[in-house]
Amino acid sequence: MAHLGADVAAFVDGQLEPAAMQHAREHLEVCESCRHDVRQQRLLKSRMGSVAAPVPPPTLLASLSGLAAAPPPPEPWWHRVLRSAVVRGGVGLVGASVVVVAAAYALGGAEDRIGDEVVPPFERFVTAFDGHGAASGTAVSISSSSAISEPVMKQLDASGWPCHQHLAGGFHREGGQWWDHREVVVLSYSDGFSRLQLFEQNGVLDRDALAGFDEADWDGARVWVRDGDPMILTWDAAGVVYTVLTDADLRRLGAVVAQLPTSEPQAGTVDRVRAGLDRMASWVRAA
Amino acid sequence: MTTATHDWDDIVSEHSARVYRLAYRLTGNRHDAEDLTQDVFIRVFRSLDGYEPGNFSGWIHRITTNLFLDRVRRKSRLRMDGFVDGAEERLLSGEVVPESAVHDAAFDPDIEAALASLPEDFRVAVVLCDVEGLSYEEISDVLGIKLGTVRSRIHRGRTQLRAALAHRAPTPGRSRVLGPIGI
Repeated sequence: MAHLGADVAAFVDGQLEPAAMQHAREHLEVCESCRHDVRQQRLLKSRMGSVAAPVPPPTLLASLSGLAAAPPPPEPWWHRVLRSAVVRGGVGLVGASVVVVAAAYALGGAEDRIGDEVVPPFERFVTAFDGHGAASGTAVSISSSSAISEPVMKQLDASGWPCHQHLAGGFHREGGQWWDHREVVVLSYSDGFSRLQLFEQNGVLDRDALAGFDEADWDGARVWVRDGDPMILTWDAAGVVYTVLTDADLRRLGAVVAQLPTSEPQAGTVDRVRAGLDRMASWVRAA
Repeated sequence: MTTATHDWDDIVSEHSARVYRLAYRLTGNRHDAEDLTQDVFIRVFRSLDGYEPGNFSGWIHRITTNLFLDRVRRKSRLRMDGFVDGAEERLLSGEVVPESAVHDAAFDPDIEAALASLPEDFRVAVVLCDVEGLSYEEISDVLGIKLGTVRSRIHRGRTQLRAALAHRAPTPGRSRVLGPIGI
């Protein structure tokens, strides 16, 4: 029988379904290593539960009570509620927020900034990508006020926002921009013929919003691909969502992805990249 | 207005200790816990006017955790912002320093430090489960994430906690033996 693995926590918390609970119990009778894991999580859980917490200081209590007598100015409330996950999370319990949610949707984009899971605005990315060549001066993505300077890109790069000057396959960086109040980094690359844009933003990819994308395993990197013009690749790693738009050939992209953080640790050796490319090529043929 | 004030006092006395405890577990220090608690009650106060929520403590959990995660995210955005005008001094410190060791022997400094070392998303899930005693379903509701995500965050959070505890060597001046996990 299979080991409990990631189900250890749910077993310890009594949160497995009855059948799975029964399976787990049977397995534990014969598996010392799972018994060990369960025992350790139980100990940890009980230790966590018995940790004391400080009581709120009297000054805090006084200031909380004082809220009723001197309510804080209401102005920032609207602003903050729009940004806050409370709006989305609170709908079920707090009926009146529905109005606020509607407003948030009407204003647009609010749902992208809240919550863990983000849906990259693929269509806006496409519009920006398409606009680039035709009228670079007016394209959404190119606005001098949001350009990222070279030194800043270096700093970003050093802090976990990759801003490679060159990407595999002869792509060189032509520029970088901020989007959406500096929540998205947009990098534009070109090899003289093909273009590639890389979007980086905080968050975790919302798996449910990837209709039309095919999930693929590229040399251990989990990516989602939407064929088209431009082609879109998206994935997440360590709290950052990466989206690539390009008119380059799919076969060139494995090496590009390998240069960026992916959800699985990547050695990045020539062999692994080659293995990935082979696998990718077979995947392309199959598609 | 006296009735309203009276009700408000009830709410404060009934929920402040709980909110503060959760805030303290999430932020890892008193200063941020006080700030967060204050923010939560401001939010509650403003919202009370308009509606009558059914599950009050669930609602307060939700507000507390969401405000906490909202702050964390804003900090990481700020980290990106900071580069633009080089306003390094504006950067908030991401460092969470457990203070309990110097305050009270009943606290568990190892747990505090290990909790502080967890990624916030994991910390929230583990704290809601083990300290607040919520079910996975309640956590999924509070955080607006799927059950499977709750499950994996708690598992991974506990695994990392264990690893962090195992790596905490005894330090001079701390004679207390490590708890069962740290051995």
